[in-house]
Amino acid sequence: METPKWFEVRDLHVNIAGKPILKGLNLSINAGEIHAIMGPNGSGKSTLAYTISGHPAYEVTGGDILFKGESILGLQADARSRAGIFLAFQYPVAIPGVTVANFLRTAVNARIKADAAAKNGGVLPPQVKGVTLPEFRKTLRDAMKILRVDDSFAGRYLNDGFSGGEKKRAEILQMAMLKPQLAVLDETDSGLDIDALRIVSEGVNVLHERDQSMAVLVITHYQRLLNYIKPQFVHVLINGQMVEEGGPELALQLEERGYDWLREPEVA
Amino acid sequence: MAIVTLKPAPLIKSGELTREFVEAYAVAQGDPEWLAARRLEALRVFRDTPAPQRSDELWRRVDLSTFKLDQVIPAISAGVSFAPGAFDDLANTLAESASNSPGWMLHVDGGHVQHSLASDLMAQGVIFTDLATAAREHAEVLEKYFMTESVKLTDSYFAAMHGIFARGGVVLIVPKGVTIQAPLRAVTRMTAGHRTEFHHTLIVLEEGAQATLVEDYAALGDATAMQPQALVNGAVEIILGKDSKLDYVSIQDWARNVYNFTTERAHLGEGSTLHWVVGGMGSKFTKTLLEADMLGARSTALLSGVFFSDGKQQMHIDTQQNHIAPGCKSDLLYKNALRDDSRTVWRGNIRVFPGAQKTDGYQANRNLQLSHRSRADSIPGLEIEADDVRCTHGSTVGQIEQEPMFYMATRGVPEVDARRLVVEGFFAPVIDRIPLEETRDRLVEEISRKIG
Repeated sequence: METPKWFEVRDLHVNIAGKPILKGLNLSINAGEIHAIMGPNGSGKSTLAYTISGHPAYEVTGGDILFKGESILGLQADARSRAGIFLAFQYPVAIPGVTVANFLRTAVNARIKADAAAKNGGVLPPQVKGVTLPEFRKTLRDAMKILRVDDSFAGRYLNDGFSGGEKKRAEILQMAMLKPQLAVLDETDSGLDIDALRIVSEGVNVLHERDQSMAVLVITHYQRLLNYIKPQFVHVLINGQMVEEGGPELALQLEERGYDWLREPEVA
Repeated sequence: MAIVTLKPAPLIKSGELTREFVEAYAVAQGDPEWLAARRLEALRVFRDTPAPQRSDELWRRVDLSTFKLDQVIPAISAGVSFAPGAFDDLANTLAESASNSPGWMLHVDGGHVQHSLASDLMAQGVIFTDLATAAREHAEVLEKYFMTESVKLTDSYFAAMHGIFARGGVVLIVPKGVTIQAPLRAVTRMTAGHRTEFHHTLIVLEEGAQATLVEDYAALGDATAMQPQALVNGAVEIILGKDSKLDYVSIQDWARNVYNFTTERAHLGEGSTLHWVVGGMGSKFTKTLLEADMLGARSTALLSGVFFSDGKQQMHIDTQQNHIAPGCKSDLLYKNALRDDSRTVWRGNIRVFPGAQKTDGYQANRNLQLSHRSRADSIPGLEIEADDVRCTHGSTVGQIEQEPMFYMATRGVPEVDARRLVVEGFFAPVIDRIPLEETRDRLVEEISRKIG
C-alpha cells in the first residue's frame, strides 16, 4: 500500500439511511494547503464534511479517512476534533443558555486535558486544571477582534437568536480558539451579505497566516467565496465522486460554464 | 351479591399527638402565651383534618406508602441542645461570605444559632430575626400575621401540623418606605441525626418597602448517607403592602432521607411586585403547594423554579396563580431536569376571579428528561371567570437532542461535558434571575455534581 498523505480520503463510500451518497471519493491534502470542493446541490459536499467530522448518522460502507497516517473512522466526533479537525457548519446549531465564553472555555479545556492525558499515558495529571480565566479572556478578546464582534458577544447564548452573519462569525471565532490543523468550512458563505463574507474570509486568512501549517478545506456551491479565500487546489464533486481537479482557474471556469459539462453523459 | 365498599385509606398514618406534648413543646420554645395558645389551636385543627387521601386530586399522583409519620412524630424533640460553639465554624464562614450582606441568619436543627443585622436597618425599624425572638419581642406584629392571613392552619393537614411545631424560622418585617439594597441571607441546616424540621418564614413588606431575601436549606454533612426517615414541614408566608417589591429565593438541598412538605403563599397588595425563585435539589420526596394571590390591583408575580431530580427522588410541585384584583400580571416559569428513575409532577393553575379584568397570566413548565426511566407529568390549568383577560400556558417534556450534542462534539467537548452544558443551559434563564452570585454558583455546582 502506498504511503498515506497528511490527510487522505480513500475510496470513501457513505450511506445515509441506507442510501449511497458518496460513491468512492478520493481526496488528499497536505499540511498548510487550501483546497476547495465545489459541486452542485445534492452532490455530497456536506456529507463529506459531516463524515470527516464523525456524524453518527453517516454510515461509512467502504474506504477510509486517514489523518497523519492513521484512520480516524474509529474515533468519535469529539476525539476527531481534539485530534485537530474542525468543522464550520453550514447551519450552526443553537445551544440555548450556554454563553459563547462558557462554551469555548469548556472546549479549550477539553483539549488541554486530553493533550495532557495523552502525554501521561492516558491519565490526566491532577495538576492540569485547564486554561486560567485571565489567559482565556485575553485569547478570546483577541479572537473577537479578528472577527470584529464586540465584547457583549462572549456573554450571549451560543447561536441562540444570532443573525446569519453572527452565526458564521461565531464559527470562525471557535476555529480561532480551537486552533485546528485541518479546518473544513461547509458553505460558510451561505446566508452572508458581502460585508459579512469579507469579515469571515479575512478571519480565516488571518488564522491561516498565523498558522501556515493549518490546512483549509473550503466547501462551496459558488465561486464567490473563493475570491476571498484563495485555494491552491479546486476539486469538483458530482454524484458522490470527484470528477475534476485543477487550480484556482477551475473555479472561474465553473462560474462561467456551470457543472453540466462535467456530468457523465446519460447512458441511452 | 354483596357490595364491597372500599374505604379510601389515608396515605399516611397519623402520629399520636397529645395536648400535654404540645404544651411541653411550647414551654421548651419559650413561647409567649399567644403563641402557645396558637399551637394548641393548631393541634385542634390538625385532629379535625383528615390525612391526605389518594382520592384527593391534590394527592392522586403521590405514593406515600413508605412514609412512616407515626415513627417520625415521636422523634420530635422539644428543644435542641448544642455543645457551646458547636457551629461557630459554620457561622464564621457564613458571616464572612455574607460580609457584604446587610443581614444574615443561621439555624441548625430548628435551633437559632446566630444572626446579624446592619445597625442602620435596625434603626430604621427593620425586623430580621428568628421566630422565637420575634414572638416575644414583636408580639403585636407576629400575633397579627402568624398563620392567620397568608398560610392558615385550616389550609391542610400539613399546614395544621406545621402550626403546632413551627420553630427556628425567619421573620423579616420592613417598615413603610424602607429599601434594603443588598440581599439578606438565611441559612438553615439539618444534621444527619435530626429527624424533624419545621422552618417558618414570615415576610412582611409595608407600603413602598423593598427587600431581597435568599434562603437556603440543606443537610449538614453527607446528604446521601443512609439515615432513618426525616420530616421537613415548612411554611412560607409573604405579605406585600402597596407598591412594595420583594425578591425572594429559596433553595432546598435536604438529605435523601427527608420527606419535605411545604405550604407557601404570597399576598400581593396594590402595585406590589414579587419575584419568587424556588429551587429543589435534595430530599427523598417533596410536595410543595405554592400560591401567589394578587389581591391588590396592578400587582405583579414573577415565579421561577429550578428542580433537578435524580435517583428515586420524587418532586411534586403545585402552583396556583390567583388573579383576584384587576390589572395584575403573573408569569411562571418552572424547569425540571430528571435523571435516573426520578419523578416530577407539576400541577399549575391560573385562576382569574370575576372582576379581575385586564389580567395577564402566563405559566410554563419545561421538563428535560435525561433518562428514559424518569417520568415527568406536567399539568397546566386555567380557570377564567372574567372576560377581558389574556392567559396562556405552555408545557413541554423533552430529551437532549442529537444535533446540539454533535455540534458540541465537533468542538472536542466530551459527551459528559456536553450533557452538563445542555442541562446548565436549560436552567440558565432561571438561574440568571437569582440576585446573589454565591447562590447562583452553588446551584450550578450542585447541578454539575448531579450530572456526574
